[in-house]
Amino acid sequence: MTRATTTASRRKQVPERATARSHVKRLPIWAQSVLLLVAVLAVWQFVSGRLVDPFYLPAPSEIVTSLWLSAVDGSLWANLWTTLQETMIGFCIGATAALVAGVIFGRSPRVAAVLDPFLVALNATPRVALAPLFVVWFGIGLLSKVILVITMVFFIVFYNTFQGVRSVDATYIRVATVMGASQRQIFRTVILPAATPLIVLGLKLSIPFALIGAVIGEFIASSAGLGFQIKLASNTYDTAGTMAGIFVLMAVAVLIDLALNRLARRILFWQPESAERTTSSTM
Amino acid sequence: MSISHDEPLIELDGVCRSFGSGETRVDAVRDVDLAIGEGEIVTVVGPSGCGKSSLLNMLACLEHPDRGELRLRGRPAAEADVEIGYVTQSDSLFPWRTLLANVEYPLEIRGVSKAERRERAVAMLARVGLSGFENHLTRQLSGGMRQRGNIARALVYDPDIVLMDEPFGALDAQTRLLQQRQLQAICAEERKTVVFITHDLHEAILLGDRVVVMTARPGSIKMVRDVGLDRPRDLDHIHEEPRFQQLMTELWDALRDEVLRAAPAAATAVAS
Repeated sequence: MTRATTTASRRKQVPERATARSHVKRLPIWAQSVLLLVAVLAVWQFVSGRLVDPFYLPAPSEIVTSLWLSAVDGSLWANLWTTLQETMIGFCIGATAALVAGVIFGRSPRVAAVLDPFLVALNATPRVALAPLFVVWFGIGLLSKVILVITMVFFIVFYNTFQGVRSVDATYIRVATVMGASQRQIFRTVILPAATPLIVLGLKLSIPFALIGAVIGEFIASSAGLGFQIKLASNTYDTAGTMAGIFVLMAVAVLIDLALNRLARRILFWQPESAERTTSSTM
Repeated sequence: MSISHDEPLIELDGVCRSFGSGETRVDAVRDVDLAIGEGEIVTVVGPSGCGKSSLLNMLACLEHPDRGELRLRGRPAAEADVEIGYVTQSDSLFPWRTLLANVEYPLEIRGVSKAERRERAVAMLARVGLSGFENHLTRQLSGGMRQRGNIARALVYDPDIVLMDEPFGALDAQTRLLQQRQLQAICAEERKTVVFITHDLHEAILLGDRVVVMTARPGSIKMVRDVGLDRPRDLDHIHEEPRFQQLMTELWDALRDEVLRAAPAAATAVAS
């Protein structure tokens, strides 16, 4: 009783605020997110040029203008295409090699034991430090970026595949053996599907890194790509252009992640929902 | 079906099995002699860690005896042409397959045609009472249903021997009761040779034609008793039968000593 009366009286004290808040709360979550975005952009637009020098913080409208101009003259699409090409080619080669290597390592403990120290050392090497070397070796074109992307992607996919293949529940293998499955059949029908969640996780995790690898490669030395566009803009103190490039990168990463999540949910239809939600944080 | 009934389907002859070597060597199974006839249901009870599972793994040819011999239909296990069904303690249905695809699996690896394996799997699922759940994923099934799915998968390819490693151990008491009832019905229909491992003496007598009591590690056979209760058994009232009670007392006396020997700390607590 007392509790009911206190909440009732509290409600009476702040009627106008409570209704405003409940209006927002009644909106769907995505609409609330959009509302927040609009608010942030509005504050940003207001602050830029009034409280902060637009040289350091260009207004959203300026960034959009810069984007628009590069989209109209076609340079945005050409650069985007270059970066996506580097990312995808590198990703495909790196992931394929990593899958094969991961499976071999997972199936053969001796190979894994012998090569493990080398892999640890290679993986510990910062890939950014290798980038200038790759430019010297492979030129400033597509190849050096693709190689850099491969080194970024390989280890993530490799370790996940290796772990996935190695950690298959022994009971599944025993049951299949007793049922009369051959080694080959066990690999195809038990080990691979059981390892799929970790393999898919590795693939998902590695895509943003593939993008990072391509952009870093372009920063070091290039004549095309989003990284090139961003670097060109920042070299000429064009902060609006720089931020425009960053936003395009962000949008690309988000879109790829969304597409991958959808694909992963399809492949891993048999998994409970919670298991596949762990990845987005690394973006 | 021209098998002479004098020759047992499964023969264990002085079978020993140990793990590790040197000082860390553990004898899991020692000198087990046992012959199991065609169509017989043998239940094995023993304290935990007594090598029951190791014994079953040897019957499944997943492990091999260090000494002694295992013969199936009179031939060494490795060269015997005997199909084995295996139901594990934990749920071992493949989570990436639907229930139907799980039951089809053993037929699939045998190269059975798609139509035939579907037909057989559907029929098998009906027999374990899982009709209507064919397209469910394993995570959408209850523990009892999964274990019945396991049993269906182990029976669908018509194996000669069915090995069960505490299949109902993880289920709650009521579910277990239902599963036991169903298993008895299936066994009566299929006339399979079954080796059933359990830690539950009650279950061992309910389901078995013979009950084997194993000693604490290293596991050897302490006692074998014919159950001698008529089938089909009325699982709800069987515990009222004098024969059941007599067996229960006799087997428990034998088993208790081994359970206490397997857990010395508990033994002293009881003694004081």
